[in-house]
Amino acid sequence: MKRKIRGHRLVYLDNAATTQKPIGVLEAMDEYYRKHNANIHRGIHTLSVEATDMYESARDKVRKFLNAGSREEIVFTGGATEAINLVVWTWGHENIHRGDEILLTEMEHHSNLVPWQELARKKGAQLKYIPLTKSGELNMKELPRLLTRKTKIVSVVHISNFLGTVNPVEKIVKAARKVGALTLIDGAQAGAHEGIDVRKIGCDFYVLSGHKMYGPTGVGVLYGKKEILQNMPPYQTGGHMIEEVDFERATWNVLPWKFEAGTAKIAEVIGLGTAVDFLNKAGLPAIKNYESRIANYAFRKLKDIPGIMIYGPRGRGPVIAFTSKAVPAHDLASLLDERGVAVRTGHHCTMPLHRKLGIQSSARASFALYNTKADVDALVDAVKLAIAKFHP
Amino acid sequence: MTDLYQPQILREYRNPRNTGVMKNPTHQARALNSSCGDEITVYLKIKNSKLSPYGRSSSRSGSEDPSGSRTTGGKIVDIKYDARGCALTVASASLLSEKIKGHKTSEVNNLTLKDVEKLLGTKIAPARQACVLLPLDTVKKALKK
Repeated sequence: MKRKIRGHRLVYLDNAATTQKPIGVLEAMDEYYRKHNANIHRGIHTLSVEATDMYESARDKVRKFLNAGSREEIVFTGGATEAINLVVWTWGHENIHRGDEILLTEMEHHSNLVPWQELARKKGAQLKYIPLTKSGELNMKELPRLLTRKTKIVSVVHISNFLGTVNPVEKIVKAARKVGALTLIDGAQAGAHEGIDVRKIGCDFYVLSGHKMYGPTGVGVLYGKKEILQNMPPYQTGGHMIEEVDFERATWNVLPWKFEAGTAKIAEVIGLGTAVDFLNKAGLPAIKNYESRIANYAFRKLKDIPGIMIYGPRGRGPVIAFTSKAVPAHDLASLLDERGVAVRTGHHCTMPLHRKLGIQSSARASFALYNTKADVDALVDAVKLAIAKFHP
Repeated sequence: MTDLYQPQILREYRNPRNTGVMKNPTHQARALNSSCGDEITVYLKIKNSKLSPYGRSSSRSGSEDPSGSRTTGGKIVDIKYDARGCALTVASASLLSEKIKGHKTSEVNNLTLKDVEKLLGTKIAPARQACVLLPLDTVKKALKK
């Protein structure tokens, strides 16, 4: 974070893409490799026992973080995308049939859209979308009409990575249950910003992305209700996920290891466990409070710049996507980078939504607990300079 | 680092040449830069072209030609494009359209990033090369038919 970019202080506002990593997370992974490096669940030697302990205690931390009922309900995956794909290609593959309906929203990230699209195409199922209001919130009035007896699953993003909208997931889960549909909540953007209680939400699946919540890349979490996970076939097969193997067939290991084939992402999971400690220490209510003050400040300052259009509702997660009348988004990001300000540009993996809004791309500033008002000021100054450059 | 947004690039972006849709083009192609959403459709009018079944790919700008036919010979007598994207894409499209009008298709197929940088008058950082190459790659794509 102390790096200089083109002679300027680094102002990192691309946290929705990935957060920077606390030193504690790096040290925990380093310590595993230096002192405890061994494969887990296998050996009875000291290192293996220690490594297994570190890995499995991260599972307990995540269970507590999500307030899940049992550690068997926490599966480590390669990321949020893989967690969604796991559900799609196991539960979805067995339970979605021709004519069934899958309900998503118009603000889904491609990771919670394309896998369902592929499943629907293969199975002859139908995709439906909860539409958005003008302000960028889900049009909940449409929900009763969209939920039918054919609806088998409702898969919804918790916090939009583009609009910043925090969706009423509890209400959606409740309504879905009435028609007997399962629910998946994509919490990739929620993990670092919102206290999550899967039992309060009542969802059947919840997914997290490790690297978007101060953890390393290459690790994610699938929470699933025990009775549902138990009835699902394995996602990948191979080592460790088995109970007994002979030359003809195999039986599966118990939860959660049934879904963790092969050598686990040991260092990454340990890093994620430390990231959870970091979030707990700062406290999610305090994080949320602080970040929303920063985001509100940014919202006000950006709104005051002539020709800037901000997308999404006023009350939001710490994400602000915007376009400038004067400067195309991609050029804006290049010019901001010249001032050391890192933002994301493009369609943010929400291409259908961008098309619907009639824009090609947008710039997005997203905040984390280490950002300050001075960072917002640097962003605002750089945006003004970029506009002046294009319209001198 | 050199300033990407040289005056000539901004000038070109504000007043791009040869924009619009062409009626009855002999060749056309649309392409998308999926990382940023930039989009361009290129329309060409080519005289005296012939179609060779498998042309030797001379593209060094990223557009490979694994199979299929490509247009050889002939001259580009008119070009139009409809570009929605960043200043670099639009400026590159404008300058390229001026450069290739009246030229042989074989010359166009030989153009590379270096030529585009020469047109723009500046070196382009890797992060933005896809932007400035989108028009050239789309012209080459149109010539593959």
